[in-house]
Amino acid sequence: MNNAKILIPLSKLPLLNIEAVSLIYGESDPELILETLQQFQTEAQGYVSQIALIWHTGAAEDVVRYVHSLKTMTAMVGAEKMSRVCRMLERQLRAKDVVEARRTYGLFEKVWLDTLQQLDLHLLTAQGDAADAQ
Amino acid sequence: MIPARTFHILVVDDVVLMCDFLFKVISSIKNCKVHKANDGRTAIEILASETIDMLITDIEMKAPNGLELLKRLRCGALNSAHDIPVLMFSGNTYKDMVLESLSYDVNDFLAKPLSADGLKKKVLFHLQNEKQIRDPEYYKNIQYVPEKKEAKTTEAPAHTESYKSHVAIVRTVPVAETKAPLQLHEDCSEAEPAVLVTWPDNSTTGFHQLDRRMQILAQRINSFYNLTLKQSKPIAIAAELKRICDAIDYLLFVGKKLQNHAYHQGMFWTVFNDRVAKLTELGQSLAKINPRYQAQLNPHLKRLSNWWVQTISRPFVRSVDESDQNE
Repeated sequence: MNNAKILIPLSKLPLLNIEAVSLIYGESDPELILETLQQFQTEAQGYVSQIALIWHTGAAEDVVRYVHSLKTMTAMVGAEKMSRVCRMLERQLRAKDVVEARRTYGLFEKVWLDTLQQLDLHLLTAQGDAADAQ
Repeated sequence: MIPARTFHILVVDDVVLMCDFLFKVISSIKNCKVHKANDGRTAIEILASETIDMLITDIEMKAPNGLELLKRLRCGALNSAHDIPVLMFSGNTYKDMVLESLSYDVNDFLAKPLSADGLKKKVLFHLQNEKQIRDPEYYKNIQYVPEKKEAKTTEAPAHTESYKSHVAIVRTVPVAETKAPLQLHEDCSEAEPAVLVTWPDNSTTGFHQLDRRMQILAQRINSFYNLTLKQSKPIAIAAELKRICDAIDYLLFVGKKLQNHAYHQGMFWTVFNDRVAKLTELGQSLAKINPRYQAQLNPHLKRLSNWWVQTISRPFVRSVDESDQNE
């Protein structure tokens, strides 16, 4: 399943595929999804900030670890594009391919902003729906 | 199938989102109590303070990482049973670590992203299907050598064409072990068994029946002590624990009978009953031990040893020469 997805070009991957949360948990409780996305937003933002902070200090091992963790959490919530970029960046950093890694980092920042925007939008809609339901 | 008793499962991941996911899913399994740790250090603390039945950990974390945890656990360096099932999250990125963790008998790998159903099935499977884990000594002697580094120093295997392994697991055999003749059974060992408690020479309680029961109890305690030193299989330790409990029961039975016949030795029986009360309590505690957990065995051994030292003294035991032989 994962191998098939690798063949899909990055540009075609969704920024946010909320179904992933339901698939992982095996239930589609809107409250659980909302809670998971909010938790993701807070934690992932922390990791992205940390990566930005240490990107220029040369602490490559720490960057790799944070990117790896970010890859895990983005995959969990269906942020497929971001997850793919994290995977690319992790691979390049491990291979010490600095030139490619720098290029990917630019993409990393851009895709993260797009993902965050999409996430904000989804959370606003979901919170509005929850308020209406009450 | 649902576990019959409460199982304590420790989940370790530095990604809080993942840790919470694991917590929620495994908590939904009946009779499973889940403990969370966001780093290796916290995991070690929990392993030391709780009786953990299963460890589920990510490989890549801030030190100590998942592999370090596995190594320390299997080597008996953590205050926890070394043979609990360990499940790890793996990824192709960490191929070397995955291969190394196999040498430490990791029970299973969980591929990310996980699904709740798949995770539950894995947890239940490993709670119900025990994997044979070797003694800590074995794991202490493991040296992991990646093949590409080893290639310069070792000869290529004869079947080079089909040889695809990327690792070599080398067990350092202690010098003494290489010289010793091949031993098929643990019992054949020529090494002197260790002694924790001894019945002093030329000593007696004044009743040969009690002397005999005490000597048998000492043998049982020493045998139990040797089994724990060798980190023998839980089944062997459980059997020895039962023998100790039987020896205690027999000693109490014999003491009670004798007391009815030799009630005139009031002072002796006062001491005897005091010591017996403590031994009874100790016996009850021994009967509840889970032999899989080394951490539970050591404190009991200490208590047994203390009891013995405090008991083998006057007026309970005295020299044969000065005994007035009540037999």
